[in-house]
Amino acid sequence: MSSWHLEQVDLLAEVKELVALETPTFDVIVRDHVTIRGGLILEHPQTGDYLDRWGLAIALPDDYPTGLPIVREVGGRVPWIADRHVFKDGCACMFVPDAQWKHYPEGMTITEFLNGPVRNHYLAQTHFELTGSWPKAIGDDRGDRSHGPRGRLEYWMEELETASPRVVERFLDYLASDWVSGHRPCYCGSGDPLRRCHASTLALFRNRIGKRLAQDARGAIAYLNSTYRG
Amino acid sequence: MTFDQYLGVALAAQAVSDAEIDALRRHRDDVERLLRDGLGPAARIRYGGSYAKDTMIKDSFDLDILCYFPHEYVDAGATVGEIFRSVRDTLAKAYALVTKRCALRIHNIDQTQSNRDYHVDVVPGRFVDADKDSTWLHVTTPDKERLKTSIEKHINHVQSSGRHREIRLAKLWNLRKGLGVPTFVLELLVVKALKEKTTGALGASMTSFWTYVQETDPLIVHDPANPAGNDLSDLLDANTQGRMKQAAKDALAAIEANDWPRILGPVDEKKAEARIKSAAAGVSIAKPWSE
Repeated sequence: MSSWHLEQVDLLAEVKELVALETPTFDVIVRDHVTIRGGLILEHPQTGDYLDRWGLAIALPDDYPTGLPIVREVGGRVPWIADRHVFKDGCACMFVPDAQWKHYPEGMTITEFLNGPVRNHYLAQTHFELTGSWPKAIGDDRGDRSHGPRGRLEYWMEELETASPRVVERFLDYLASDWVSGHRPCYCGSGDPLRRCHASTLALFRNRIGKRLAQDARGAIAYLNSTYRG
Repeated sequence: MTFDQYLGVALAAQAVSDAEIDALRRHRDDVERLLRDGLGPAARIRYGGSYAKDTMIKDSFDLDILCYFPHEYVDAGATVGEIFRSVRDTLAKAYALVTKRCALRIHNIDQTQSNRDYHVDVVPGRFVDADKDSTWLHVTTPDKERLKTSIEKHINHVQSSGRHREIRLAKLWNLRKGLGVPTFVLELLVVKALKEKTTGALGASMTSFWTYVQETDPLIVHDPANPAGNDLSDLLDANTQGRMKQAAKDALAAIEANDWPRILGPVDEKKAEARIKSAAAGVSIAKPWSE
């Protein structure tokens, strides 16, 4: 696949214009691929006070804007370890892949991405540097996800508001299927047919999550559940 | 803590370590090798910018490498524009490049952890004559094709001012407030604003600087190397001046209220921790994950 910028010249021009206008501390570098590099200044969202500055490189993938931009910290501050949520190749793991629809929805511009999820992720990294913990919302046990399939399971349990891994597995079974009869029992375990219970939730996620991703999540979580059950 | 102490601690935290300086020197060696291999031995390659002027700060230590060719030398290009393009093509073999007004910013291509990103600007040029005092630089913006300047005069201008500490603090302020004022212009402005002031306490100097920025309209600086021929007004346009004036007003209000961390951020770790906790509480953060 050739990189998007060779065919979508207008989109490249738009990216350059947006970055120059809205995130002027970054440069757009065009070689074989497009990378946005520069310093992200963090300010307090209410007071505007300076908090921190992170050196970042954001690579726009070949299938941009559909594909998720790849974010790397390039100042050498964050070690490339799972506990800091960095992959072995230096890419930041800002959220589980199943949550991309929420944090990088269709139509989000690169500067919205930079000023939204990326900014917030590095706010959390600064928080971790200063306090040794990830910032968490009220009522949350922790501010980050467990590594691997367990983290994906946590995400789905939150999303479906369930404490049962089996409910998640059944939901992903349905989500990964081409079609599910409304007469089948609801994944939530109520005993009611799906059409009279959580059919709308399933339909909602069919629009958010592609079939391949749903199958991948189902495989990972089914394996995790099977190891729990021994 | 007094305001002077606050500024002193903020300044001390911006000292660039020997290891960081060594890393920059290695970048210069790499760039010099590449340029000499590609364009021959004629160029005079030396440090410029904040490294040469001793005004670097840790949060943003860009390195300027000057690559000036003798005035009669044409192998790298018959015009300064051609020299610029020759240098660009040579550097592009090893680096990602961004074209600036008179310089080429090089970025790291290698993403391995041992090769962190850095900001190095290479400034191609040609000496005006055999004296090698002044240089022609190629200008990439449409306003003009070339400009005449002298790095020697810039270095002397800053060094003789004795305002290194104030310049470093002003650069930190520029960076932390995201003002986007070109460093060269900011240096000139600090020197100009404090020209008639006595040197001494940092607090008094910086208060004078911010007062000058707030009250002087419009802010004008001249290139000491070419005061009549090198118009810098484009680098200090109305939008930039507006941002500077507002930030200077905020700084003076923070000094009045003894709330100095509003100017350059907290220097006390506990206060920094409290601020980040408060900031994080106000936004919705995706929970980070890893495979």
